[in-house]
Amino acid sequence: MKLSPRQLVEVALGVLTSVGGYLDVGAVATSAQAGAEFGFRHLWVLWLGTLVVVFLVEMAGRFAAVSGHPLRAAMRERLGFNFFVATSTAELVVGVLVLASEIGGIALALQLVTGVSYRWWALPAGLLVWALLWNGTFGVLEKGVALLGLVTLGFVFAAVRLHPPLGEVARGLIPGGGGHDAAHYWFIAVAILGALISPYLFWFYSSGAVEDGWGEDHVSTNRMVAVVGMGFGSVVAAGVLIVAAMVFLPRSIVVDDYAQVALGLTTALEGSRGFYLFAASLGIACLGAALEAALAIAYVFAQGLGWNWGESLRPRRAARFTLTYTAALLVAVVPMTLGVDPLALTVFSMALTAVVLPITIFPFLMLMNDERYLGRHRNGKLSNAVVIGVIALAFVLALVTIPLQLAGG
Amino acid sequence: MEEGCRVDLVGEVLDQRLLDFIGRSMGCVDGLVLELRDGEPPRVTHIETGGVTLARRLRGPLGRWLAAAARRWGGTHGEPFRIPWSRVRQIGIDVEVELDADATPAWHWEHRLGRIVARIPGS
Amino acid sequence: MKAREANVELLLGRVVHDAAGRRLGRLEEIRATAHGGELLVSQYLVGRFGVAARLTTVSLLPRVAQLLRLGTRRSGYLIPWTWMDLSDPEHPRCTHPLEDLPGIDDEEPPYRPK
Repeated sequence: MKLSPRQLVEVALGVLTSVGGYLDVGAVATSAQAGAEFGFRHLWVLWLGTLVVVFLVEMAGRFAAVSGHPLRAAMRERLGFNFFVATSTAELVVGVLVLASEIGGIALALQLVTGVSYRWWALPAGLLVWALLWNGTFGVLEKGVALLGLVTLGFVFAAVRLHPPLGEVARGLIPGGGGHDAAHYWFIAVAILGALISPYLFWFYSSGAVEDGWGEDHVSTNRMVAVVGMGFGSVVAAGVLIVAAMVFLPRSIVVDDYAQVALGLTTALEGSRGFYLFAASLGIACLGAALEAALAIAYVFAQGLGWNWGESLRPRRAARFTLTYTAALLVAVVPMTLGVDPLALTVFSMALTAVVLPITIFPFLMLMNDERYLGRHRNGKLSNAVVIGVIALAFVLALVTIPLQLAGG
Repeated sequence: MEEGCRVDLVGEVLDQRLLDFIGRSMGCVDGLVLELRDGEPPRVTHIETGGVTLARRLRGPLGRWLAAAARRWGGTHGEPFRIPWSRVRQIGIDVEVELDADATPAWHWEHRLGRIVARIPGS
Repeated sequence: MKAREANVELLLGRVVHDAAGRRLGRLEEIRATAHGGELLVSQYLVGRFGVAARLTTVSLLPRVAQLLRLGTRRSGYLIPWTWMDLSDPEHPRCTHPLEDLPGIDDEEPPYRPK
């Protein structure tokens, strides 16, 4: 497929954006735990989750590009106001919890570097996110965070430098079980999937496509961005897992705070470089995710209720939209300030995401088949089969998450 | 609208985004008013938009709370904001109307909050 | 005297009965045609399983089957405007028995490009 120079730039930017937004506190936390406790045996969960996200993100982008409408708006238009209210309420609760977790991630990164407790950093972190949203345009944020996000490649370098046994890594890529500790193994598997398949990513991606003015000519670009971008992010997550497996598992260290993961990187890269690299990676990944999560909340309200919206608009031109993310951030800094454990909140919100997932994906399926919005670009049988598989998976996840959390969390 | 052209009121008009005469979003088509006449087909007379109309669609306590809030703080003081159907210019992916959003209650809260926002640096 | 009014968004989803009191289904769609600059209602679509174009839990299965193009026809009735009594908007009533009603046709809504 030949690409014009302009398209090449767009793909590159889209890829970088995916790295910034895809890798977040949830992915880091769950991958680290997986590696520390089960070695490489969760690698197949990573690639399965990535495959699912690639398909869903491609659909979200295609929908926005062809119809000119973001998904949330279409959901109300096609499925009615009452349904929209019901699903949005559930997603808002989850969305605020996820935002709080991401702010926790930024605060923790700052704690690692300064030694000052994350509780003090929560408010400044929220303020930073707010200031970036308030003053930045979509394009600037997209490119800025994306470039910074390249620092997360440090995990990949660390993983390579540790010379993991390739045979075992390969075996981890094949679906398998947890052996003696099945409940805990599957709980972590579910948490990983919940961390990867986050609805806010799709809402954000489809809104971003509209903000960037994508048209029908972007359909093939979108496909490439989805595959390469998400794939790239998953490679980094795999890096986290491998590092954790190489550093923690042999020493039987259970990961229950981020300082330990930082220590792991310090060991891997021989020195404080690793430590700072981890702190920077965590902080930047969470910053990107916090920006997206806050925007996703504002998009739900604005698109569902017909407000004028857009990150690229000056705040005074989109007052309701900007005050919505402001309010969301104000609420989101509270848990961390009060001293809620960031790692625990992260795992909890990932599990909750998994529970809410079926409610989100099902209408998604309906919209992706809607001729009025997509015309000849609507889903083919393969895409539909994948989404139905995801819905089935989501139902299973939703059902087993809570019991598993109680049994093996 | 062309003579004889068919419109699905629920699928093509209701809940679609409402755009003003220069393409700015002024809300959604939250309601549609039919005039019922004896011996003649019902006629679409108005589009309704705003919190009052939405509140009526939500059954239960949430709807009642929203209705009370709209009455107290809304731009139309409890009356639904109606746009005559004659003002509709086009029905496509969005519904376009011949109105200036700034001059209608649709942006009442946008304006009020906009004044607060303007005081914050960087807006 | 103020003309009688009904709101489309409040009629949506209401159960419609026929002249004999039998349940026909829920009101799904109201079709209108442009005549002389006005938009006039021509038909009411009542779906047997529920609001098919909008999601309710009851209507999921046939809708999904239709989506996957497994060939299931939507089922329900088309009621011409002359046969619909909306004097009580919470209980729309068809003035004819269901045997007189044509079945729903399976057209997709018109595609409107951006």
